[in-house]
Amino acid sequence: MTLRIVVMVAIAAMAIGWPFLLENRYITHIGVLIAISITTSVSLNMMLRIGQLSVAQAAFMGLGAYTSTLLVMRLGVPFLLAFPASGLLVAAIAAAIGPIFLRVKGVYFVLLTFAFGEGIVLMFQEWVSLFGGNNGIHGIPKASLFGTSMVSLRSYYFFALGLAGVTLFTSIVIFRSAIGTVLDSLNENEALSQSLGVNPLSYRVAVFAVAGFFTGLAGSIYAHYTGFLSPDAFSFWSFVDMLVINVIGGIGSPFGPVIGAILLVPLPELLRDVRQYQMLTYGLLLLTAVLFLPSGIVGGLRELQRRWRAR
Amino acid sequence: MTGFLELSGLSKRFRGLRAVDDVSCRMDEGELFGIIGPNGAGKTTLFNLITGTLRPTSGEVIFRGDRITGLKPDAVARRGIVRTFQATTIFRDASVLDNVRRAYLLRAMYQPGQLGGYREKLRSAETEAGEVLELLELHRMSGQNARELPYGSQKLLGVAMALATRPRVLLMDEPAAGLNPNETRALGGLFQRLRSRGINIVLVEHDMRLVMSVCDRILVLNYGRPIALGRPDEIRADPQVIEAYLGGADEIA
Ligand SMILES: Nc1ncnc2c1ncn2[C@@H]1O[C@H](COP(=O)(O)OP(=O)(O)OP(=O)(O)O)[C@@H](O)[C@H]1O
Ligand SMILES: [Mg+2]
Repeated sequence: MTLRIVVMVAIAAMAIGWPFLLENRYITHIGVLIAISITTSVSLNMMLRIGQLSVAQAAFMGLGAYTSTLLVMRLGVPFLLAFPASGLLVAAIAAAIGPIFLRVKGVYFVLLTFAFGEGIVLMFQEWVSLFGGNNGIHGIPKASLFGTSMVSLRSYYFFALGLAGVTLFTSIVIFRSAIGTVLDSLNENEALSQSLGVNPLSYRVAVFAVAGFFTGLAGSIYAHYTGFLSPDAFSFWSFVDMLVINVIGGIGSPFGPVIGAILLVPLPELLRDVRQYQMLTYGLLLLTAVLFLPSGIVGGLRELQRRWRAR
Repeated sequence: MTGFLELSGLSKRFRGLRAVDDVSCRMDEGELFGIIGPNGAGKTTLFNLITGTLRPTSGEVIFRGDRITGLKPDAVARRGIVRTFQATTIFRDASVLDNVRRAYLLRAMYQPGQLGGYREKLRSAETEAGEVLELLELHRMSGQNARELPYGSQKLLGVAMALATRPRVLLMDEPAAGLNPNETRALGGLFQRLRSRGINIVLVEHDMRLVMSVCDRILVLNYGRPIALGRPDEIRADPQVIEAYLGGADEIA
């Protein structure tokens, strides 16, 4: 336990400290992408842990991104307000559709959220006057906090890292609390849990809304960081990225997607020269994980630890 | 005595099948109420109607003066009507203690007076669970994995979990099935203890000796229809009941 805390503090210190030791724009850029990806993947992980594969997560990120962008660009809302608003709007949407969507399980939920996601992307594409269509929106202003514009890469890194940290912390706290016990019980035996007085839907909707909230916030940072939005960034494939990150890192723990994001996000950048092999590498990694590490890297590490203890 | 739990014209049809057909009865507070009937008579379906697992085709369930028909199972449970299942229903991968602790915790989530921290809840769950396990004489197995328990103990664990929610009414669906004669006798003793704690019991059971010895009144169902309602001695002498059970595997003790 204490060892675990030491390791966690060390990793946190490294995540915060390295940009001061190593000033490399390129690596910092990847760092921002990883931090954003951790936020979205840990959010998806919350849904996976309640047994619901939500394909809507990518669309949620898009809704957060466009909300923040439009609030800032069209209405002149300061980023400091547009940022939380993007998370809250997505949470509200999740809370509104949740009671309908979360009534169904398994394949049906996957299909419903898939259709929802496609619908949202279609809206981004077709409602040109508002969302800019397939040309997207250019020249999104940099995020500004308290009147000072965030221009340095490093400030984005810390902002995105902070959000990733809060998301991770929230996920851990939720699943370690009494609420986590309820969620696990629902997962294991819904009829029994319900017969003991738990309303399954309300708990699931709450998790859906929390996952949507953080994903929306991640979308906002993404928009103002890249300065450019186009609908295809929030397509089905961006959901697949989040899912692969979870599967390879490990679904059973909130740290799984953290490890997954750190390993997988840099890949497309590293493989830039051999672009045609990118999907292949992805596929091979996924295949290896599914065959040899069914519980992901975190699951594999746990297994190692168990064997080590059993010696 | 006032009407405590009341069923009025309760019916459930599955396609053409009348699984529960116009059942009306009134259970009094403090009464130990039995429901018997041949296989497929509609006993479990009746429980499902009372607990909101199924919506009745027609009729009402009234609990302490309130209509609870159509409420969801969790809402019914939060009002104090908690059931156990005919098949063993437990959290199989958790320990015995953990099962009961969870049951307590799930219920405590909704109790406003208990909005203390998680640790606090866990601690009271711990003591509460210990007491319940002792009451059911499962405490010696509390560290064991629930799936490793013998069938009879798994069923008792289901009862323990229901008790951990502090129900006012406990609906038990064949708690004695799978128990050995000693355990069954112990179960009879348990009913008396629960009763002295003010828990009302509705018992669905095939073990006639148990039903006849513990119940105050018994409702007999046959093909979903109530064919008799009365004290054990009245039920035993009822020609329709004898008729319904003739040729069946069940025997009236
Ligand atoms: N969900 C359902 N859909 C269709 N028919 C059902 C359903 N549940 C029960 N039935 C039918 O309703 C009738 C009553 O079943 P029920 O399980 O209530 O009987 P029971 O009295 O509990 O029997 P047992 O003593 O075997 O447990 C049976 O004919 C059964 O096949
Ligand atoms: Mg039955």
